[in-house]
Parts: sequence; C-alpha cells; structure tokens
Amino acid sequence: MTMAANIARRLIGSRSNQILGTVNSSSGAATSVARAFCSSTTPITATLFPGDGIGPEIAESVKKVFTTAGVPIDWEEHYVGTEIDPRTQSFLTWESLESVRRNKVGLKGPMATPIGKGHRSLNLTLRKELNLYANVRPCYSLPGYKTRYDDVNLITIRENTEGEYSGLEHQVVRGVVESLKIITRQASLRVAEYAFHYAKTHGRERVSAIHKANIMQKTDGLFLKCCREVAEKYPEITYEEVVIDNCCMMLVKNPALFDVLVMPNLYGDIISDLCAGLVGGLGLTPSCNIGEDGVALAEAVHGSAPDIAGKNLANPTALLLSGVMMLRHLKLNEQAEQIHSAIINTIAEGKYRTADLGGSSTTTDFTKAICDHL
Amino acid sequence: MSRRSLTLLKNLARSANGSAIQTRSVTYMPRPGDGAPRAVTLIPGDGIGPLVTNAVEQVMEAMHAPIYFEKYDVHGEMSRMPPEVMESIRKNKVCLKGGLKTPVGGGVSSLNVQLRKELDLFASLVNCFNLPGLPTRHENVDIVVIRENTEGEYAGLEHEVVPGVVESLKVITKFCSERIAKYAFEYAYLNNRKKVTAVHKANIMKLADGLFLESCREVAKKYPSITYNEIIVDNCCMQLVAKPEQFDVMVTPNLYGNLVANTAAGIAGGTGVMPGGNVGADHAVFEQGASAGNVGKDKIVRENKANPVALLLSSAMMLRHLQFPSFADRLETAVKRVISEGKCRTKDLGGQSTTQEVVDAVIANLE
Repeated sequence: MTMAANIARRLIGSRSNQILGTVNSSSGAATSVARAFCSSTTPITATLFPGDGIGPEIAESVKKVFTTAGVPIDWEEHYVGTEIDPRTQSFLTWESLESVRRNKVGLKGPMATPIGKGHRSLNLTLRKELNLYANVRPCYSLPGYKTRYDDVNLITIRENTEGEYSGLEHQVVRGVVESLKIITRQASLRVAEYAFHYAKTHGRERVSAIHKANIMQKTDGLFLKCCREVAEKYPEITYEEVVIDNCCMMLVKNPALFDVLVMPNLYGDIISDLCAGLVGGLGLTPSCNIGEDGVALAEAVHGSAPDIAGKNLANPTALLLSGVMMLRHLKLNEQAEQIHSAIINTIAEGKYRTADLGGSSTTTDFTKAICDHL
Repeated sequence: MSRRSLTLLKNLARSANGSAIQTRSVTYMPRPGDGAPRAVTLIPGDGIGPLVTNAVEQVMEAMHAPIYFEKYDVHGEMSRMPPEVMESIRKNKVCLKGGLKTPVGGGVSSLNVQLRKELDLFASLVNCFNLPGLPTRHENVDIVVIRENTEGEYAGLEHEVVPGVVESLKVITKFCSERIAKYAFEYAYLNNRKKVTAVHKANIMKLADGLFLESCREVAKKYPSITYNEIIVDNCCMQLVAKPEQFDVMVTPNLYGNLVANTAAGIAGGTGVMPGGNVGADHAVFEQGASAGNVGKDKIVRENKANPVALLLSSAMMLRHLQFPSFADRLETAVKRVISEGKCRTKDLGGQSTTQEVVDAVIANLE
C-alpha cells in the first residue's frame, strides 16, 4: 500500500510542479516562497535539533511520520555540543546556527541548559543569534481529549526579545535590586505587524493587545501605541485592548472570548503557559519562533523529561504539532493538514495514547497509529 | 420511640445538608466598652463602587453592627487623594472602599496604588475559595494569595531614554520582601494553613526575584511546621488551571500577585465573590479581593446588576479585624446561604437578579 501511495504522490507532485512552474520563473518574490512551490521534487532542507532527554525519541517519531506522509524535507541534524563554542559562547556550535540561517527553517526538541557559568542559556543563544522576535503558540482544545475547557481556540503571540527579560539587573546598594524592563518602538511595531499579518493570513477576526498600561504607563503605553498604529492598517480586523488581570480572569472563565492575543515578553510567557494549561499541558502545545528574514524555528516547549528518556514512553504530540506549524509556514498546507488530522484522529479515538494522556501506549505505537491514519 | 428517632434523623440530615450552617462564636469575651460603635472610612469610588458600598451599608444597618461610616467622595481622575480622606483613614485605622478607575495610558498615576503606598499597606490579601452551591469548573479551591503591595513593578519609575525606547524600573528590596514573607507565614500560622508557596521568575530575573526568594527562605526556616515550596510563575498559572487543590497560601511580588490572584479568583467563581483587603502595620483597607472588574462596565451600573457578594464578604473580614466576630459570622453565613440557594444571583454568577435583590435576600437570611 505504501509503495503505491508513494508512486501516486510523486506523480501528483510532478504534475503540480508543471502547473506551478510558470509562477516560479516569473515571480520576483522571496526565494523561500518560490522554493516552496517547487518543493515537490526538490526537497527542502531543514535543521533539526533533537535535543536532550526524550528529544531524540520524539524527533525519530517526527521523521517517521513526515516520511510516511511524503513530506519533501531533508533533515540536517545538529546536536548540542559537549563544550562551549567560543564563537557563540554557548554549547550550540556556530555551524548549527549557520545551518538554521541558511535553511531558514528548523525544528527543535527540548534542550536542557547545563548549569554553570561562563555560557549563555541555549534558548537565549538561539533567540539572540537568530533574532527570533515573535513566539507564536496556537492553543485549541483537542477533540477527544477532555479537559475542563472545551471551546478554546486562540493564538498567543509574544514579543520575544525585550521587555522584562532583557536581563539587565543590578544591585544598587545591599538589599536593593533594580531590574530594567525595556520597551522599544521598533520591537513593538515588529511584533504587532506580525500579529496582524498572522491574523489576516489565517482568517482570524480579532486581535487583543494585553497590557498593564494603567500602572506602567510609559512602557506598556508605548506598546499599545504601536499596536494601534498597526491596527489602523488592517481595518477589517477588530482590535481591542485588555488589561492583563482582566485577561487572566476572562481566560479561566470563558476562553472563547479571545482570538489572537499579542503581548510583551513577560505577560506573553505567563499567558501562553496558562493557555497551554487550559488545553492539556505543555505536552500537547506546539510553538513556533519567527525571526527576521522569514526564519521560522518550530519547537516543543516542554522539558526534556530525563526520567523517562530512552524508555519509549514520551509523547511526541508537541513536536509533531510544531512540525505541522513549520509545514504551514513553508506553505506545504496539504501535507500539514493531513498530518494534523491524523494526529487529532489518533488522540480522539483514544486507543493509542501515551502515559501523560492517561493511556499506556509507547512512543512507537503512537507513531505507528498516526502513520496508519495518514 | 420511633417518632423521636425520626426527628433526630431529620435534624441530623438537615445539619449534614450544610444549608443550615450553624456556628456560634462563643469564645469571644469582650472587654467592657468593646461594643462602642467604631468609625470606618467609606469610599464609594467609581462605577459599580457606590452600588456595592451601599449594599454593605444596608446590611450593616440591618444587623445593627457597632460601626458607622464616614463617607468620602473620591474619583479616579483626581490626581491625589484628598487630604481629609487620608486624615480620616489615619484616625479610624480602617477603611472600606469600592474600586477607583485608573485612566489607561494617561498621566494620572493610580489612586489605588497611591493609597497603598502612602499608608504603607504592604500586604494585599485575596481569599479565593469555592462557594458551596456555586458551580465552577474547579473543585477544592481554597487559596489565599498574599501579594507584596508597595514595590516591584509598580514602583512607577519610568522614563524615555531616547524617542522610541522606554525603560521601566522594577525595584525589589530585602526589607519589603522580608516583611511580606513574614506576614505570609504569620498568616498561615494564625489561620492553621499548612503550606506556603513562593511565586517567582528567578530563572530569568536572577537578582530581583532571587532576592525575594532568599527572604522567603530565611523566614521559612523559622516556621518548621509549615511546608514551604517555590514555583515559577508561568508554571504556577498552568498548575492553577490544571490542579488548583495543590495550593494553599501563596506569597508573591507585586505584578505576579496581581495575575495569580485574578486567575485564582476566576477559577473559584469570579472576581465578583472573592473577598480581600490590604493591610499594613497601622491601617487596613478592605475592598473587593481581585482587582479585575472592580469598577465594572457602564451597562452593569445602569442596570444595577453589580455583584455585592465580594464586598459583603470583605466587610465580614473587616468586622473580624475590628474584633466583632459574631457579626462577621452572621454576615458570612447569610451570604453563603443566599449563594447556595441559588435563587438570587447576579449576572456574573449566571443569574438575573439586581444588586438590591441580593441585598434583600441577605438581610432576610440574617439570623
């Protein structure tokens, strides 16, 4: 069955190349778009960081599902090194970062930052070197996996570079510490632009900016001003502003009130984790970091779970769904939809579920069930 | 013989039902003269404030509680709290207030924050618990959030470095962190609470939240019978939504406390029913517990559908603070009975009643 399916897919693939070949030659648009159209025959290279702990197992799972679905991606695998690379001041090598810069797209598993001094955290390195300015997390209730909330369908977009996480702290005198929160017009405009662009391209109707400008008047006030400026350019999208304490309360009482949320760094961190909790936890949440020049690094936000590493018990859903986000970014919508439905159906059926969802399947069983659903 | 056992069984069933929540505070022995009426400053505030404070006034009168209110008109657009109000609070030491609306993004600093800083009300307390009879998605919630009220992100120190770049200072001091930690553990000790959780983000803000955690750990050592643990704020919000029964007392710096209190209030029934207050070394100001929606929307004001339960329960806390425990118990029992019966509920709890109907029901249920 699989061989015939593969042959059929290749036939259809080459036909679409003929149809779309004209678009390829005439457009002067970004090369990444053109590359997506001719992706059916020439595979796209993407960087893969399997990560630590359960990372390698779930990365295997992703590779298997993608191959079965016929996704034309060649994976370039990179691992976290064992010594500090002086060029990056962290355990990530310069080659890994160059690879992402070159391929413009990547998938990252959970990485455990080693404790110690003299190096930057791995996530911080990736963020700063690749200039990843927006973190996008879609949160929707998975049909068939019952939580207390059934009607969640929202996206959180979080500014990822500045705000409270600038890391600028100092001790003024003994016992008095100051921490700086920085908001700039440039970064706020950038993330607001991305949020509205995302809302438009994904057919979303409302964008809510979350803030605490009644207390932090200048900083969050600047963020809001930038959001308002961008909102004027998208009159078809409703724009509203919600104070963060109101937002928290409304989210736990009635999450259906929200659609797309855009916020500065700290609030984004808290709200996106809160939303993940509403739908079932970090084990099911996809996430994608967007950088300048169209770089997209999808990642699984859960931890590396060293206690179940290597035991074939891990839940690959988060990494798989992040992979789906990556495919959508590459405009491989058909395969993305296929894989997405397969995952949803497998979980909805309930026969194959990993331990954290209340079942007893192994990682390989779960992966096989998804492949069967494709 | 059988008839007697039948009535006994009926009484047993009724008391086990919980609808007759019979408690008697028999152990409070007053000093002669404790019954003299106490003055309490009352600030109705903006929006739904006047509605709900009026509700409290009515109920206090119906109970013949030994307090009388000194009312002052304050609105959120004022740039400072009027000096006569501050004097009255300093004299009476206790204040009850409705919400004051802070203009968003404008040049006026929040009057709520000003009041807390001037009177040094360093601890803000919100008690979030499931009310019997009120259906929510989460059960077994009984969380007290104790939030540092004077510094942290609310220091109000912001400036524009160059056009387009703004800085805001978050200040954490050992002095303030220590006293809020001490208050939290003292509260847990005096109220028979078993666990105190510190909420922080010290993996990112290593010095600032690190200092807060250090202070909490030091105080924790002096209370060995109380369990102490720490949790990062994003994980905390996720756990609150998934498994809120694991939390008991939570101590947090200023901003996280705001978020955590509102999230906890939301899961336990909404900010319309959670009591709370602010307390300092010399003064106490009681208001609706969680800050979201305490001014309310215009529609609620016009239709008189504001929920007075939060402020009524906060005034019960106030009565206990003033050492009138019997009145506090009567008020709480009446309010809980009204909620559990379910006939009189305002819109945020899923009903259709007006504020006045709820107040009348509470007064009717007073023993």
